[in-house]
Amino acid sequence: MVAKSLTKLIDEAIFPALTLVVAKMLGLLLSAFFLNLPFEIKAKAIFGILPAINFLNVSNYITAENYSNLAMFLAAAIGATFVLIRAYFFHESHVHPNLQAKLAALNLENIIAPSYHLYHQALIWLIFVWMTVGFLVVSTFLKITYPAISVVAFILAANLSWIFAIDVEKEIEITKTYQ
Amino acid sequence: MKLNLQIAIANFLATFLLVALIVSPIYFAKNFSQVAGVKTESRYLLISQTDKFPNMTFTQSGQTYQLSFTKQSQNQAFLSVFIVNNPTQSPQKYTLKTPSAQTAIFFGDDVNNLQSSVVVPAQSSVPISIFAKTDSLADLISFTIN
Repeated sequence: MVAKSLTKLIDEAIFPALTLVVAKMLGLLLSAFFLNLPFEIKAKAIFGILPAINFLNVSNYITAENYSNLAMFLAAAIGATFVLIRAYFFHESHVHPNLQAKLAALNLENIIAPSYHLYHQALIWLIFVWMTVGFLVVSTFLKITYPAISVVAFILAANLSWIFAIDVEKEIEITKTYQ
Repeated sequence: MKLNLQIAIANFLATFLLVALIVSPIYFAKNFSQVAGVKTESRYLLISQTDKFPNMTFTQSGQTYQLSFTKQSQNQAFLSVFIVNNPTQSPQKYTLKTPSAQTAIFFGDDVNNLQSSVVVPAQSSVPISIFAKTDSLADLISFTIN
């Protein structure tokens, strides 16, 4: 009933969304712990259900917010990197025969994935990476996030998108060759 | 026809779910950490300039402010005795209330335009002045800001 791609995208979006939320929470709690930033928990602050962490002053809030935003972006970037490595080296359409033989010997052939699965995963992870970059840039304009973090995030996101574009280009060439 | 409508509704809901899944971590990230101080800030800040005026004493009891002073003549105005600052991000309406009928306390510094109520834009200030018309040279006024 619903388009297959849409269902696949929803399936692939759940894990990255949870990863970002957990990374943000861990980033805040670890930065508060290691940097001795006092905070209190305010109930029902998000969606009317989830609690929020309140810092006592603006400088503590900005420090914790920067570290946690960095942790959230790194989580998104690592996820996207993992998927792109898989798309580049373990792509069913162009995996090297020697590599496939070695994976078969180690009983790890399930690492190799088809384009349908890999591209949906990569698209979702890249959307999350760019959404995070957008959030960091807006946060920088509001004078909360340090500009250096936004710049590094943008460069990293651009590079990941470029690698994805190269793999899609290679896939199109392979498809044209075999048609 | 009915199946097409169901397909359209299902696709719409699926798109909405996908967008919600993508946006919710960003919304969560924005709101998970907050500053306690900003959430509990006062509607106004009252800055006293009474030390610039001789023989003027300013005290506060809860939300009621009291000012005692001595005049040079029967009718005397003291301009910009206080400054009210709006620290919030939106315009605020402030109203001065005083039980005194003879001593007027007003916003601004124009004695011909005694305003007891004013709308102050965000991050802006307005002065408070006093116009005393009592017979005695020593006077006392108490007021509140709402």
